[in-house]
Amino acid sequence: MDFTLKIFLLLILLFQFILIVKTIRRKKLSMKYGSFWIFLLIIMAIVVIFPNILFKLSNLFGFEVASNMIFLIGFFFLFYIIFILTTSISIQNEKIKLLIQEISILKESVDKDGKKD
Amino acid sequence: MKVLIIIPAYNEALNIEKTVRKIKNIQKSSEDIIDYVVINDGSTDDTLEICRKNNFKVIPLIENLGIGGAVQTGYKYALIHNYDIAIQFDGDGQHDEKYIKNIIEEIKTGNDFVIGSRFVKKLSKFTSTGTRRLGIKFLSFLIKLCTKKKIYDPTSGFRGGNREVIKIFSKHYPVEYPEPESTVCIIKKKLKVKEIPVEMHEREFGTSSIKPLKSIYYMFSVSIAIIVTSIWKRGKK
Repeated sequence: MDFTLKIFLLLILLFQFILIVKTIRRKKLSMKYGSFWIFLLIIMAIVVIFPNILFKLSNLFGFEVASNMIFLIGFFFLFYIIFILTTSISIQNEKIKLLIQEISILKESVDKDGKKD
Repeated sequence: MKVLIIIPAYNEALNIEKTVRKIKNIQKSSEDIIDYVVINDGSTDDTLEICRKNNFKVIPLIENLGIGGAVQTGYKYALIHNYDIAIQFDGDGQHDEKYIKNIIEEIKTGNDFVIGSRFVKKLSKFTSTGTRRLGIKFLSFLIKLCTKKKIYDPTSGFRGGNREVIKIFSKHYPVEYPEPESTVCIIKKKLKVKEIPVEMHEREFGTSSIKPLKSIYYMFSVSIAIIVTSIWKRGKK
């Protein structure tokens, strides 16, 4: 791999790393998901520095071209992330529903008591 | 026995007053204590104002939840206030109040969950349109397949349960198109379910919550829900 390309890619990864850390510190990304993205960045950095790992792996698994393996891994990875997102949306919906119900019942009883006084 | 009638209402300004008056009429003639509560599911019309004006007992949800979330709020209310029986009664005027006492009677004689059904015995002229009946027949068949119990009208929203059912529904109740799935859940918990014949009327004002275009997706997701629920609860009490 070309040396300038390597530096360029590493700079992009560094920029993304700073972005993630900043977002976590602004409390706009929880540590649970933040550490996951940082883990992904580390893997990507290793691959950029030692691209041979990639070629050896794709040979080992019988891919004709290394990029096919990357596409496949990327596809499964995105699929998995989206699945996790839909489950976490569902969990949040359930919690929001619970809050709306409990607050509505509570509010009703508070209003009723207020009127009695 | 303390009985709570749960009346979910979403944009039922034209029907709600009449519906509550029906319930108030049967309050006097019943030997049980019959209370009701309107769950206003974030209506955008005057439903809430009409309830307030008439001093109806109403819980206004602070946000729209959908029919399942609204009905579940009613069950939670029944649980908190120690009702022995809770009965769902739609706010749109489709259900007939004279069958409420039949449902109460059936629960008193030992059934846990009683469904007011259009198809057990033909009482009403209004049953449903052809395609909807076909859909109901299919769901009925699917429930029989999954639970070995025949439910003739699994989409009926006119149903009631005892304390055990109130507890279960307070904990778990589906949000969208909840009737068939929740019925399967009750059967799987080995509770006694009975269907009794009732009349239903065509809704007087407004439109039904199930739109024709969505009905295919409805059939699909309800079928999945029935299958998943019946697998999930197997073996567990």
